[in-house]
Amino acid sequence: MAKRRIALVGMPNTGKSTLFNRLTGAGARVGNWPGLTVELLAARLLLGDSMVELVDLPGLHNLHGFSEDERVARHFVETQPVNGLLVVLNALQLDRQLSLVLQLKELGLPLFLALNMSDEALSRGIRIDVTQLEQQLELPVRLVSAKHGQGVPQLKEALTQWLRNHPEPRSPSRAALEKDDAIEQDLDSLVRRTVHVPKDLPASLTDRLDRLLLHPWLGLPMFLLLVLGLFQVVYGLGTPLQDGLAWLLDNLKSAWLEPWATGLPGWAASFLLEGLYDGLGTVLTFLPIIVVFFLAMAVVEDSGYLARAAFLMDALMARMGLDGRAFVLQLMGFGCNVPAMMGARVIRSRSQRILTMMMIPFSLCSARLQVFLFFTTAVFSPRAAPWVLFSLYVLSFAIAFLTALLLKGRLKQQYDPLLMELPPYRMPTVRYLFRQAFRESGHFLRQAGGFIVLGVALVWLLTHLPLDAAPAGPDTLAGHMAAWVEPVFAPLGIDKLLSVALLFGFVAKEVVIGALAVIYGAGTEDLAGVIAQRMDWVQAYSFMLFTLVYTPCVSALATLRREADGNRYVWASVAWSLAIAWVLSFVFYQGARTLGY
Amino acid sequence: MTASSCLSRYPVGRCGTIVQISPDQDLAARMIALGLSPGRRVRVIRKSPFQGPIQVRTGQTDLIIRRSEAEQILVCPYEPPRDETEAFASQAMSHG
Repeated sequence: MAKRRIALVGMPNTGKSTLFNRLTGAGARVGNWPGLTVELLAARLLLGDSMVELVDLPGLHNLHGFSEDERVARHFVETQPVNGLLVVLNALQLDRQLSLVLQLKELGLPLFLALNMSDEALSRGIRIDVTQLEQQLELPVRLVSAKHGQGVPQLKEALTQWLRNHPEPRSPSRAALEKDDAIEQDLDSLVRRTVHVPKDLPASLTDRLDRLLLHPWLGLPMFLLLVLGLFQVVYGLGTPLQDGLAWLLDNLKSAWLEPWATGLPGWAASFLLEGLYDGLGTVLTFLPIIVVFFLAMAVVEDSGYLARAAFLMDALMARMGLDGRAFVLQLMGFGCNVPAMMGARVIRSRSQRILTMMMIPFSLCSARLQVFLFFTTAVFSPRAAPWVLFSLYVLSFAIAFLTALLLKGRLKQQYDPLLMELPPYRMPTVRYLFRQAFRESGHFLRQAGGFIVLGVALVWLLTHLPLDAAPAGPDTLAGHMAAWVEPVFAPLGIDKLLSVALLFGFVAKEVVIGALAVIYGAGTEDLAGVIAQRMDWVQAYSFMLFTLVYTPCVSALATLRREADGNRYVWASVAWSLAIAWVLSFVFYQGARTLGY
Repeated sequence: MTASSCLSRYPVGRCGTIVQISPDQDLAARMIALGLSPGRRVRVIRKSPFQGPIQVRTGQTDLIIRRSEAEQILVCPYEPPRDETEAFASQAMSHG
């Protein structure tokens, strides 16, 4: 078998040599190549089970360039057989650098694309659609950070696989070296389709915005106002859409599904309509709100404001043994706790990281938001509802901070200095926002199709078995379960049946509303009415408090276990959140009742 | 020329040249990666209340740094040539 060889190609200053060193370690040697006057750096690299020679070619801008370096690189490519070319591009400048890839493609050699400095690109808000790029270029593409080593093991793995497909070294097709013209046009359309670069606002505007948003005394009130405004937008835009969807689903049911289901046995019709349809339908009505919510989050994340939030909150966070980044992660937890917990990796000190991860589950995620939106709309007046919601956000922070304060002394402190870039403000691109909305709704729908179906089916079974008992009555399985936990929930003003819904919320909070629809046997539109009838605002708020705090969902716990590596923190998190949820609801409910509400 | 002092004690709006950065290797590497290396000019943009972090500008990059870390950076006053704005602008360009 011929000797395997990969040549490393890229423009100057793409971190090509850094990647070379990263891949090969210190074993590089300077080699003499027949026909070449310049010495090239080469090193052996173990990929899978075979030794491969990696050659670092001089940087080149253009395959047809005239500089000495470019001639050398071109000559090497033309004369030395290789198994393939590993092309390194600077992810920050893909718009300029992709032209080289298009030129190299013409050689007809196997190519592998590594986008270097991907971490920096990400921090500047540049997002690269790798799958799309792979499809468009018909090449394998990987993101790496040669400087920090991220993605390098994955790159090696992918290279091994790639080499298996190209076992024989070969030379390029010579004719291809002539062609050049169409490339510029290809490049434009390729970049437009695969790279998303947010527009920076002009520096002067950033300065003026910062003067207001980072004002020593106005900064924090402005921050609260922004958050409140965000929820007003979500509420104002999302709720009418939700109502519309609920109306649609209910009409669909009465006009279409109910007549169709008359032919089925009673229990089957009940399972399909009151179980699956009502349960799933109620969850689905939240789709518009979720989309609006994640759009708003995407705007905030992309705008560069989060770094400002870190700046504003750092002094307060320092008193809890944390820093501004922990606060930002807490904000990101508003979307979903799981990615926020994974984001805690940016914090180097283990104690700070664990502290942050123990706080994040109290961040009011979008799944809990559904429950709260439902209850606030059902029980409170439209004027009061946004404030009730806001109070829950404030409480979510208060409990997170309390957790940090209490836990701070228990962990051995390691200090991690805070030093971060304050990016200029940016306008997110509309295209990116649409993609984000699309992705989030896809995620939501997949969940609805997966475990939410399972959840509501299970709730139906629990509330309808045995079949001769009255649905959701005391004789059903759910009734027995509810009776069993009643002593715990009665002092909180939480209805027996609601406690069954809470049990399912442990798996995922998204199931809670669907479970309620099934338990009360109410359609998407009627459920709010049923709930308003069955509970007053004190009970509703007590239920919301408990839901806010009571336990991280299963995926959050799994993440905590993986990231904090140990069950200790998982158990601590569950026990602590259950305890504090109960105490909080108890104090609120009994207090409000004593005061005569 | 006045003696150097810590960046943390620099007043807002003052510009200085970095003389020395943190002795801690890890932190020094991060400082350099973000553009805080000896010889570079920094300007204090604002300080957050309650002893919070400070915002500094070096070249075209704005950074936030805690006062405790800024304390480890020694800065000597930068005396601008007559036309200060022009000089600062050209410096910003050269580091861009």
